[in-house]
Amino acid sequence: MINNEKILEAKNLTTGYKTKKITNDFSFSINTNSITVIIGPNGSGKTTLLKTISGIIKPISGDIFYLLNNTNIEDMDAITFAKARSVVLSKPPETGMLTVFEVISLGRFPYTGWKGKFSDQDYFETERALEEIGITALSNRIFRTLSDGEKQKVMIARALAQNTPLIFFDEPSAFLDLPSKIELSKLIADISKNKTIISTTHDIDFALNYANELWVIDRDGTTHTGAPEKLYGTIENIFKIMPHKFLEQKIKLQHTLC
Amino acid sequence: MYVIEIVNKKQKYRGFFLLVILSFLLFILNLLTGSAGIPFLSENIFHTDGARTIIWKTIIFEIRFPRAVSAFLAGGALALAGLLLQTFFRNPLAGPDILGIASGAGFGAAVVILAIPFLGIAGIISTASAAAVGAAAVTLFLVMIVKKSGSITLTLIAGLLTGYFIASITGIMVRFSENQAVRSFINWSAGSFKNISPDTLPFLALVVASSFLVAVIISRHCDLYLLGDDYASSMGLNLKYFRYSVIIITSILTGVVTAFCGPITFIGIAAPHFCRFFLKTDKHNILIPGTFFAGTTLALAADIISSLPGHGITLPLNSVTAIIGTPIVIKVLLKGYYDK
Repeated sequence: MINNEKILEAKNLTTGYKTKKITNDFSFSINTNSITVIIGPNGSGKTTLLKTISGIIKPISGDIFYLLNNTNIEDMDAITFAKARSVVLSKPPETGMLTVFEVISLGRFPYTGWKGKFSDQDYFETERALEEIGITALSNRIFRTLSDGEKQKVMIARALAQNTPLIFFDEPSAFLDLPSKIELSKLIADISKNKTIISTTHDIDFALNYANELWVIDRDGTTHTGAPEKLYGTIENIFKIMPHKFLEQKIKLQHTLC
Repeated sequence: MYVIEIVNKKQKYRGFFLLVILSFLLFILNLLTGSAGIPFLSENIFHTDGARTIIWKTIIFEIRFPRAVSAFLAGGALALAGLLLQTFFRNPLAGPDILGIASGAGFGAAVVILAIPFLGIAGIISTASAAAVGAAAVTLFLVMIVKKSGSITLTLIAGLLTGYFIASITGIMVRFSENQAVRSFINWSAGSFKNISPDTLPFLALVVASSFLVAVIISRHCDLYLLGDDYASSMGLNLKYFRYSVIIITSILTGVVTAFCGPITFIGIAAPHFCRFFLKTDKHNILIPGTFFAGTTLALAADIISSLPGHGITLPLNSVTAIIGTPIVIKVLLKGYYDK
């Protein structure tokens, strides 16, 4: 596994909306097959930052480069970009009466031509995504009848079917109960073996345990980056919790639960 | 896995063919029934000599056939516009008449009708274009409201109110127009499939067919759009182009039908649900053609019912569509295909 190859890079990125700047002058680079986790207090602009990097909203200033194509993401057309990155949002979408299989197969949109004809390859990728997430049994269910945890798994399977090197998660477990949260964290860690993952989260536990690289957004819009262990001080300052105590408690809790 | 997909497909296709057959049967029934009684059962009308045969043939081919064709095309067109609007606003209660888009079309048409009372072909085409522009203006206004408020409920209310607003202006315009123009306007505003002259049918057919084709081409984009803007654009949908295509198609369809047949209510909102009831899917590649035929079915049925009393009496078309459409829409509101 090559871990020093860069996949995404940004220079002097300022994100936010017309009326409100959120993160200021932020430069970064992201390694392939790593997990980058973005945390910050409520309203600090985690989601805005993630949506900017994933190209859903435009930055106020600065450039983001997708290094596998060596292009600025603003110059990529919708289809090419959809082959580079997929996105999983916190809230599962409304899909009417579409089945799980149909929702996941939508991930193949960038690969099927204007007629939308499914090739063997498209069927193969869709089925592989179902198997990898372990939801083959749900395949024929109507998506909206699933539980929130199952819905998020389907959305992840759809991202896998999209077959992109980069996957963005925006607080994927925000609406889930504790067991589903833990399951989802493990799933994301599994996926990261051959995908680059960038995720925002409220879940400090997930951030400390799974992140290779942590971005902590401060209330003033500066972003601290580094390995989780190196940011304990920053986290303590911003969140008023002590990361090492937090991890100790978690280990204790696991012992009592087991 | 392949097996599951195929079973699923079979169900959908069965529903689709049911709608096509229903629509075809109603088309034939439409030729056989009408306010003039033709004795199909007791006499072989095409082999009886004499003046009566000629009259019957004239009634069937020159009155009933164009009327059935126009019901078929207009019903399908309104249904298609309704479905695209429901997808576009991601709301099961959207429809050209509900959102005030049909009122916009009506306003455009009224301007031309009241200005040029005697309509030739050129008049009809300019009426249709004016109606399409009116429809597009209201749609764009609603898109602005969605963007500003972010609320679909608010947009529905705004659309409803805009409809009343425009209808009132149209009413005032009529008050100040000449008698002759008003008569042709009132005739038009009752809504009917029989006002189309046979020579304008090919134009209507061409517009409906090409819009239908575009709709089928963007069917996969519609599926993607259901998931929401953020998901759809992350999966490769160019939101701008998609939105423009939907606005253009729905405006043309609503505009042309409103110009030719007058404001026809309820088919646009009810037909997509009628179709989902048969097809049990939201996959647009089948939902779009299915909804087209659901619309033709409803329009042809409404037209047959409106001529049921016989002896030259016809029921107002919009009353019939409302009587058929209301139960369907209320069923959606109460039980809903959108709840669990």
